[in-house]
Amino acid sequence: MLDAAWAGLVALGTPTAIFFTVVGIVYGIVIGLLPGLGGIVAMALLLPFTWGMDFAAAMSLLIGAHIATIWGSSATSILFRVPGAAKSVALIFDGYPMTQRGEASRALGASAMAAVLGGVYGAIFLAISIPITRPVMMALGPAEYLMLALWGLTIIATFSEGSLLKGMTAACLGVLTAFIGMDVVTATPRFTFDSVTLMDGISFPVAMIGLFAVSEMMKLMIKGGTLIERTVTEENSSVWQGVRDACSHWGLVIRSSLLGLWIGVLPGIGQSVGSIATYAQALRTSKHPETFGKGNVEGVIAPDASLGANEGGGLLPTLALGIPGGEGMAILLIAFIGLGVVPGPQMLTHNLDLVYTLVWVVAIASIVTGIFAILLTPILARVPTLNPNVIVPLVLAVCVVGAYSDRQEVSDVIVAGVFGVLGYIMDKYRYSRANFVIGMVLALLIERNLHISVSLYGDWFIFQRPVALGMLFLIIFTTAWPFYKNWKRDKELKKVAQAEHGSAS
Amino acid sequence: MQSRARTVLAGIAASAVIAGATVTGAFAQSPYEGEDVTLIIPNSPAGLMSQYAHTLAPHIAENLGARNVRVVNHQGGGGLKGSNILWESDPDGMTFAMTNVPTLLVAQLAESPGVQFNATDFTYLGRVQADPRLMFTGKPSGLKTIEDVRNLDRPFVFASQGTDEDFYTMVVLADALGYDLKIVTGYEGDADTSLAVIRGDADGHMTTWTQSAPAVEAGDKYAVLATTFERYEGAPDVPTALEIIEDPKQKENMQAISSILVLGRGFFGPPDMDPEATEALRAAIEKTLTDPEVLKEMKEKGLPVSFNSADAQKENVDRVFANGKNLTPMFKEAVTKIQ
Amino acid sequence: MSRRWQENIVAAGFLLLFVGVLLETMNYGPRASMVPNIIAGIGAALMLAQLILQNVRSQDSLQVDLLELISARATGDEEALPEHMQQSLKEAKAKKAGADAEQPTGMFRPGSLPRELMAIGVVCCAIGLFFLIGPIPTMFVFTFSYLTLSGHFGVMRAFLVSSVFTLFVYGLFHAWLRIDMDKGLFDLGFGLW
Repeated sequence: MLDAAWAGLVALGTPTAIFFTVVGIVYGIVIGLLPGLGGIVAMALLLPFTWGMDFAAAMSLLIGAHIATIWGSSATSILFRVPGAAKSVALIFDGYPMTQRGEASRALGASAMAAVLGGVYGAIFLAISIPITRPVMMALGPAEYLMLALWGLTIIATFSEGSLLKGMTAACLGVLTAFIGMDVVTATPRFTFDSVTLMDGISFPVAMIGLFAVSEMMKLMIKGGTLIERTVTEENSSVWQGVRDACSHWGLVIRSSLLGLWIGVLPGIGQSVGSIATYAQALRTSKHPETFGKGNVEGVIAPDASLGANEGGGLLPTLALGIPGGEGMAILLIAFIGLGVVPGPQMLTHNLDLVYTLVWVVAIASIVTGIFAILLTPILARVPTLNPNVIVPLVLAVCVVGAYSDRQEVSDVIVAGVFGVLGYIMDKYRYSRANFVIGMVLALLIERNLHISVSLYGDWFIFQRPVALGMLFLIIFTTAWPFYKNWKRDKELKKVAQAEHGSAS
Repeated sequence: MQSRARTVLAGIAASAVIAGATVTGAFAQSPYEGEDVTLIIPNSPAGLMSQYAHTLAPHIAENLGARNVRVVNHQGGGGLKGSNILWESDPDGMTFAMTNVPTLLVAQLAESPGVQFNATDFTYLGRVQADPRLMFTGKPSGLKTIEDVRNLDRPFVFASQGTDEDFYTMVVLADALGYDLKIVTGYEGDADTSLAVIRGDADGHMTTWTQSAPAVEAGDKYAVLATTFERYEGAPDVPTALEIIEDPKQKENMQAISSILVLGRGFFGPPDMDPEATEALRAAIEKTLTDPEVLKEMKEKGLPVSFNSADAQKENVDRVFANGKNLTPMFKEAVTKIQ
Repeated sequence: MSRRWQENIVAAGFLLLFVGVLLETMNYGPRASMVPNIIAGIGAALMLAQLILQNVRSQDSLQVDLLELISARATGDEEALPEHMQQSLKEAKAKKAGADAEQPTGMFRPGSLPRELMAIGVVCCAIGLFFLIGPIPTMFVFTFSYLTLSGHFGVMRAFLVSSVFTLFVYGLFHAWLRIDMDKGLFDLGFGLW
């Protein structure tokens, strides 16, 4: 194991890997700062670039970008009260009031440091649990994979923000999109309408480019204006204050990281749940809960630590089971396959050094992101003021080229456009695009394992596989549990809402 | 004096004519001189096929005397899309392709949707490489030899990725060797089927020797049968199917399958390709794939080569389709079973 | 068109899609159609329920929870909220903003349908250009046109920005990643057939 760990680190020592870590992080920060574009968009756009790269460089690029977008998104939440991505919503509650008080740098510093610490803890956890997962993998068969995938699906639906019906519908749409193409189980072309191109299905990166990047550009075109409008008060804090804050609240950071980790391990839950839950946890355990919502730095540290740790946690099911731990992980899975790396148990036996490369990438990328974040804080205030008239054409043009480059398939450009319009509609009418993505990724996993399980064990396979049966009960329980938790959460948030309502008016 | 000058002039003129004729004659023989040639790869630009293509293309260009052999990817439909495009291409010799030929043949035999070509009419240009495929069983199945498989009193559970060559090979094998077959499709690749076999979910699967060698060494899998015409030198104890099959009709079917599989990665051109161009291209390909320098380069890049001539390719293809009428109903029935 | 009706059309559209899937899967074998049928069936039921709830129950029509409320306030996107919440929010905002509460008017105000159609048109333009002149020329022509026509940059600056950007992408995709950038010209089958 130590050999693999060392080999994994050495692989990152090449100039290419270092270069791409930096490129990925810079790119990720920029994307994170542009509201609406999040980690998944950044990664989807980078995906075509990774064909032809070696593993370490590709992972440095993708994971570096993803980790960097987390901080970038937090930054816009803090500075402009506009969440860079859905998961950064929790940063608005206390981050923006801090900005209003002239403590923006402190908030950004705390955010950066908390994310670094969370990321490192996540990486450590990932490294520790790798040997433990090996025997578990052998015990998991198609029936168990099916249950895991189903669980991922149901958890998404349960945690849909807003309308439950719409959230589940979005997931259904994603699942059906994945079925377009040649069905491997029965050798039947489905929903292809005699097109040989459609026989290969809808490519994930292309759908993502459309669903997130193109639709967000459309949104910018449609909403117009600038992205922020407020008056600036005098800045009177420093980045280092924030860094010190994150370090001194080490208990909070550890608690928040662990929470973020476990939520990251559970496939499909997504980071937004983690940061909200962590914020609520921080509020509950704080010595001064009444200061939350008015600019308490703990309210910035907690969600960011969990977001950082989420990264490492999310890698675990992705690597070990091939089930994405989150929407960004879905893109990572695609990259793996493109690089010829098949995630799954054999990765832990034959490709352990690659796994450790990933662990190191998470840790290093978190730290480097933190460094960049601290350096960039003074300049950052200006970016979202970029005129949409510049952002829109550049991003749209890259979308067109990127969509084409994925499979060198001209029809993919049309697919991206169609998904762009779909994404805009879904966003406007509140059908969760994140659910769509996770549905799309989990769909084939579910269907194939279902058919294999039935083939191998018969129609009532669930009763022949005790582990799978146990997991089914877990699914039912965890699906019902959040309804109870939601009720509790609403009570908490009512408190927050009143605090916020009070501070804003 | 005049006659001598005339002789000299005549001599010079004659030499010039002969020299000119030789030179232009040489040029006139190669239709590829200074031309741009297109090599279609019906597979992903990131995959192994493209790597082969990019490495071999410059050498082929040099041996053709062509200006350039340009690799163009047309991936889709599991190789069908690019092959369809080649089928429609101009047969002037400026366009040819390389892919896994067995995929095309079984697709056509099974009458898969999306096949727009007739593989017997392609102009074959030479084989690059063929990796022999063997049947492996897993330790939990308790089946160590092919005899164990034949004596099984329950269906043999075969893990398959989908309806690829392995799927159809197994169908023919089971029919020829007389054991019941249960094919479980839906696995996601060799790694997936391997895991199923090692875990004991499935009894066996088919891979190349290289892919399963580590597991065999670890005792997790056993090699039970080879699909080649002769025993595989890497596993000399493993019998070939053709050795065991007795019934002549079944033997013919198996020979057809072995002929399919032995075609491996190969070059081919559109039907009725210009004869001069065909000859030149075949010669250039043969020269490239038998050149020790090229072979050394390919080996270093992890791209093994085992050349076989265009004539051998054509022979195999014809043999396959001679038995086509037997195989097609068998294939179609197998596909119906997995519906 | 009111928000409610827009929501109805979207939900009905998705419902039709699910029904379409159910019809199409009748052509496939039992195993191939099993899971798509289940999913499409669930989806159709969900959209049916959504349509009913949207139109029958006015207060909780969109089943919004408090988290949504806070996010909506934070992002300034209140359109998705039920009417009664929108109303109280408007009032709160009006009290706060005072003179700034003037909403821009006119056909091309932000968020309007003509503007949406324009956005779709721009996307179609980018795609159409791709099919006419290929990826790299599209990059240049599209960015240059947009930057100039939107009046944001002068012609020279737009030219500069577009050129640099196009060269960068060309270098990255074509020179380095060996991706063939010649396709897409006059492909009237749009690559599908």
